Amino acid sequence: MKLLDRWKILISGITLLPMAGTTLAQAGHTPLADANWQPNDKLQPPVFADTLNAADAVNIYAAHRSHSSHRSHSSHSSHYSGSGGYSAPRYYSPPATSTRSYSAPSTSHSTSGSNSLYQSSGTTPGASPGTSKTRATNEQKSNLVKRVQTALMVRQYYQGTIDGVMGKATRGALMAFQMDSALTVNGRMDTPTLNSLGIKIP
Amino acid sequence: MLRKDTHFEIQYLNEPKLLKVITLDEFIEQGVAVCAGATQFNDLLLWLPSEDLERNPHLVSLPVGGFLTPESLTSPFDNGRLHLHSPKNPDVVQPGDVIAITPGNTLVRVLYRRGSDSNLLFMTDRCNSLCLMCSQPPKDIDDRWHIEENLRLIDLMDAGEENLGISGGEPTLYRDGLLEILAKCKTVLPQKSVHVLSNGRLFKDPSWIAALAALGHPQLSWGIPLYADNAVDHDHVVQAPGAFSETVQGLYNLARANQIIEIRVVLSRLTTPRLPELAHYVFRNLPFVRHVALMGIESTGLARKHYEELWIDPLDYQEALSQTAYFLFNRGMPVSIYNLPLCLIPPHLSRFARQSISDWKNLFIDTCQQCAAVKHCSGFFKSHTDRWQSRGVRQLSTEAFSAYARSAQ
Repeated sequence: MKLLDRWKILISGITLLPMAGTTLAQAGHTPLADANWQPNDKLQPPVFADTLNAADAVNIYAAHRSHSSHRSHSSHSSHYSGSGGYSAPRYYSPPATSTRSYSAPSTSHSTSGSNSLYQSSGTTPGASPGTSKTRATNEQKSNLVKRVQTALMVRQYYQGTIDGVMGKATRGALMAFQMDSALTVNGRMDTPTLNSLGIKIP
Repeated sequence: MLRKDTHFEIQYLNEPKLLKVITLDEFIEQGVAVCAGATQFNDLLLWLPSEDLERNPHLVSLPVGGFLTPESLTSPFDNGRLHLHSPKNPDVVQPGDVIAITPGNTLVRVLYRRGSDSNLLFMTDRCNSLCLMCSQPPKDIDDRWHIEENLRLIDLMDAGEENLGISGGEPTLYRDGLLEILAKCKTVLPQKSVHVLSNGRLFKDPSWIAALAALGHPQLSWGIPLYADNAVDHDHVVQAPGAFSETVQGLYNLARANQIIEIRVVLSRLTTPRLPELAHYVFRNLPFVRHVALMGIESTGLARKHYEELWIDPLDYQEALSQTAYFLFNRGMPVSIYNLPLCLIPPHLSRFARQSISDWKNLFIDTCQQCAAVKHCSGFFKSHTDRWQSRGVRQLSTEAFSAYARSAQ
């Protein structure tokens, strides 16, 4: 674009300014841009390399488009009992002595009981079988969908329940968000979409 | 000073819970990754101010452990979900904190406070000593449940670089639990330095050497009290025959395990007369010690009972304190003075003075309000009373404070 053209744009912008409010208020659904408006690659917004998730971040959820094939697992998270990790129930038995003594109390404890004070219900993600760098467990997928649903809800795209299921309503909301955000409209939790929603890939 | 507990209205709580308070933005951005260890949505308590709820009423369907509304509510939501609201003091619980709640009790305890340098894993109320000035008198109870609680708490903390204390009671009484907690700190919270307060007596057992060496925590230090250069005085202060010998043997065993050791001395009428001799003892016999903390007394717990025996005006031990601090300092041993307000130490000791009192029990009295040094001063314990107040407490003028500032290089 020539310098002169830029000045024209700037000047026309200034002259429009006093009545800009009224113009917009009356505009209604008429398009704000001229029909012959073309995007100019020199006027693109600057691109910052420093996004929430790097462009080459490993996103094992990007291909996760429909949840229908996982429906049978949807009750998975609530009945799975912890195995290993730090959530294993433990029971520290009472000390051997009941009177004050200067010797160390017995520190023996058994692992048989299960009256742990704070039961960690459900799975321990780190200890779940099948966890790897390349494959997400159903619970991890479901948790990410829940966060996507929440982000869409906060942005007023989604009003359904936050159930971790990538169903029609969620995918529709995701696509509407992608369209409004000038992203590729694919209904997938790809990295650019997660970045725009402010979601770090777990 | 910000208390570590307050009361909330609590709805639908049917079992004891540890919960991580998290904002909506954090939930979206990080999910369970906001916690350092293994956690689930169930462990999260969503911080939900009423305006956010009005904007998005569907948020109450969020699959988290519960909700916290930091304002007073007249009509809490009625859907069977755990809900905390209407706090007595709205400042106590903030996003990032970890809280403990139990059914039938409106008390909410903050076990971890985001950004605080005074976070503590409390191990036990039991102790094998009965120090005359104990600020937290021991109880002879079985409280091994603390181990479980702390292991869970570690998972829910933030991962960042912070100091973490471990205290009691005597933490080493639950040897296996303590070692397990330290091992978990190493794996789950590798960025946090850990400082354990122990009387060191049980380290007399040499099997600790192998255990601590195997642990290999890179940022672990031990604060061990030594109250005299001789057994009679020390054993009297801690009210336990043989304690001096055990602690000294324990110190050597810790040194054999290459541990970082701090010696702590609580300053009282009993410990100050031979303070320079104690410094000499430490320098001669415990040269591996990394830090000596000379600490003003906390006037709570058993200390109040033994007022007559313990109380000495800090002005009256200034000379001994000065000799001790400089004896060690001149020989390359790091020294700190804890818990003494600047007005009670001479300017030339200000380089050793630290703001040492944990934020949740630290306060400044009326005299401090106009003092020029208030931002640099340790202040007082919340248990402070007139009876325990030195005749030297005063407000420092700007000129007076500049003398402290000059020597604090």
